[in-house]
Amino acid sequence: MTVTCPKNPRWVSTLLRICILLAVACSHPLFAATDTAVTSSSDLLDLSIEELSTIQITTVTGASKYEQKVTEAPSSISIITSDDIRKFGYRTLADVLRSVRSFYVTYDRNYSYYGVRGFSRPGDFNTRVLLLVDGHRINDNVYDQAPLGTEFLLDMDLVNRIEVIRGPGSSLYGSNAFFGVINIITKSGGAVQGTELAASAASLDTYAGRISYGTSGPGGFNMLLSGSGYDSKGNAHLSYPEFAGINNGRADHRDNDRSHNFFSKISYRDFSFEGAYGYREKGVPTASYGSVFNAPDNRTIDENMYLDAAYRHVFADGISVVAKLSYDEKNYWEDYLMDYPPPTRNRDTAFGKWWTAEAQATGLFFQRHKVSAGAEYKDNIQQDQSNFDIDPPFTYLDDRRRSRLHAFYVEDEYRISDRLLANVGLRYDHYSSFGDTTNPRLALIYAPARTTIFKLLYGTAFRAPNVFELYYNDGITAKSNPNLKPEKIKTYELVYEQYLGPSIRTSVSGFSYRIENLITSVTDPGDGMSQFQNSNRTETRGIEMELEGKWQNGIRGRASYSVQKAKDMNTGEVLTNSPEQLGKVNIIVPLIKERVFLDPEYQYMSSRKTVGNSREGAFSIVNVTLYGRDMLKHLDIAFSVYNVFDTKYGDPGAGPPQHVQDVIPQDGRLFRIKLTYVF
Amino acid sequence: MSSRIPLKAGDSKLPRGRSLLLVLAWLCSCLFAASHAAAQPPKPTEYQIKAAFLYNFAKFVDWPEDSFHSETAPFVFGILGDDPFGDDVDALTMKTINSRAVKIRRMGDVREARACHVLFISSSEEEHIEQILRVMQTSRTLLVSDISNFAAQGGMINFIVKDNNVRFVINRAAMVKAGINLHSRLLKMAVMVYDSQDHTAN
Repeated sequence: MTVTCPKNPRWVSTLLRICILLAVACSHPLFAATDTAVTSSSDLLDLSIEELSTIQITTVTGASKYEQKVTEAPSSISIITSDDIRKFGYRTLADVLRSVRSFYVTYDRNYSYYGVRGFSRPGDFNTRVLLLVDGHRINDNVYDQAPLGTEFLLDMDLVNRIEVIRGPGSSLYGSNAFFGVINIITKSGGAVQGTELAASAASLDTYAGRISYGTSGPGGFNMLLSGSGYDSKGNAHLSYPEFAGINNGRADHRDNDRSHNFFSKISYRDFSFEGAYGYREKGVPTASYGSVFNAPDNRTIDENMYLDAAYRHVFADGISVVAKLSYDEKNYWEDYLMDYPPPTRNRDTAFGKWWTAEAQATGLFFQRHKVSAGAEYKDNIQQDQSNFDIDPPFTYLDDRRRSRLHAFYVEDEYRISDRLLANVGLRYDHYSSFGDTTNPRLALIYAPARTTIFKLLYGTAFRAPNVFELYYNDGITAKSNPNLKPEKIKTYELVYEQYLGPSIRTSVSGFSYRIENLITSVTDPGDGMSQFQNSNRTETRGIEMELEGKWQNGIRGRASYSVQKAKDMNTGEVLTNSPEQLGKVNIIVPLIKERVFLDPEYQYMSSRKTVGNSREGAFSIVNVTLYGRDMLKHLDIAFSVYNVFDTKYGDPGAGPPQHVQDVIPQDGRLFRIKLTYVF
Repeated sequence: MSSRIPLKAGDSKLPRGRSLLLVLAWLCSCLFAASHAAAQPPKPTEYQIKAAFLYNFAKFVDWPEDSFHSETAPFVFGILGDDPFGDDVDALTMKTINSRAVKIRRMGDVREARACHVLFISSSEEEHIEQILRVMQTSRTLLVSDISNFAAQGGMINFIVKDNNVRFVINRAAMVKAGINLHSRLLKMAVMVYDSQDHTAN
């Protein structure tokens, strides 16, 4: 495995700074001896039986669909807890991902797009990572989009933990689990216990509120109900020199963002029901898709919802079964003022509806084989797209589709010996549109000592072309390509985890990804229209390092650094929007024991090539949250400063027609204060 | 089109002379940090918590004087089969139970186990569980295990993992039979209590 050794002295000093920041903070005598946290096995002995019953052990559900210890999961995994979300003041899932090893986020003032391991395609609506909420697939059936920003239907306050699972997951989950799976586990009603209110005020005239009610009772009864609202006026003025001819290149009051969402979850004995709804309206200040710059009501509306009913039962012989039935809806409207001329309002819509039925059984056989097998059936009853002018009415696109898929999978976790575990998985998918695909995953997990773990991982994954890529055809800017094939990835990864002494965990992993038939938007030089084609072959190689520690004085933190190179094998060029280095540091420092915490985080991104073939410079961002628990009776206060040093930076645009801007400038310093009260 | 936004890379420049100083500062800090490191992984492991539970179980059982050979005899925790705790259970030896010193004994044969006060049966013994329970039937030993359905099969305390928490199921009938008296606080914290031996698992 070859990895470019960075020659740039910049990153050396950056990495150095990261280390110093971490080490100095952790060793600072000021904070020594302010500790009550449970830090050792002997401290655990002093806890009461009631306290012990509430301590969370580190397990992961997403990597193998059932609960599993992190060290035995067949992937490289990061876990973000509700405690991290509170203490670092994370507002959205995008904020969370920015802090996770080898992830980065691009924002175009409408949607947030993740990048992972140097891979983020312009114009890709987050199709290559599968997003799950309590095991329910969130990616929709028109764009395959995973919503990460304010368009996501779940309030971050309702999250119990987020498992970020790197590597292909198609052997279990099928399409979209291409680079990884993000599995969000929501809080149980018992974790809220009563009524909880949260309110926040932030820069850019931003206000948000939430009310939640949770309860639990005998027989496994558990209920959580929650509703949230969010309103932001956004930047009063945004400057885009590309439009210097209109209003001096200033978009005035065009950055508004408003959303609300509801969440409910009820479980009793073996049954559970979950429903979620989210609505967001966002002003688009960038004059996307050739719309009139600084026109009022250039906007997008996203509405997502799902209902999910599940039955889980563990039989006396240890075999557990899960059966699920769910219904999803995605509605999307995009309004733009176009100047043909005359100025005309144009609307783009997408409506998706789908049913999914799933069943899975897991059992232990011959003492050493933990086998799970499952089946999935999905009926996309509606996958409609349209594009039309409102007045005078004219229809450019009216495409209606319906499709189905079924799949079977099996996974065997084979404990060969106490030290060696093999995990073998295989999934077969049949799509009514393009046919079959079969994807395996193999993992060997070897622990020569209790503190040392090696994981050798091999996997393949696919992503089926979505109806947007297949059939979007307005006859002017984009044409369809019904012959698209699925894109495929083949991956190898070696993970080495080492506990250094009892308080520090380190991990190093090296990976190699090869993608064939990558679905990419290509402009036809003949007619100037864009079309999705199976064109590129790409290859990514990289190394990641992470250090996680907890010290006696209550300080804990993690730091990670990743180097990767993602190349287009046809042209030999580095991909656009692909930083070669990413660095992250997160530290939680207790100021007053168990009450007040100061939590800085640091994120570094090296330079990225833009679609317009220029380079967007490297930058660093520091965010700090001061978090106080029980400041007044039952009142938590969090004060956050984002981009503390007001660093000026921008994210690459997706290129025309989506963005005329080659680089889209990002927000400077922002503040937020948030109060949470429990009755 | 080409809108180059003036970019200050937050902290990408660092005067060269300071680099050495930074390296030194970093090394010193690392040493200092290492010396402050506490004795524990970032999150408690499943078996650290289980070890702590074992200690609590021992505290919540009445141990009559005749459970011990002499006034100075130690309180004995036994681990039967492959030891999943490692060093984590050794912290128990720093504690006392009923003002008696604590001893940990690891063993491979159930016949050695009869002298223990609390016996943890490792999942490596799952195949022999019936035989083990038969041998232990007449000893006054608190039997704990995380083998699935241990309590249903006649064991006394069965660890389970529920919602990522370590919890336990109690078979009270088995304890009564062995003459072990349990504090009600333990019963209250159990996820499930079997009152009669013929109860089947859920």
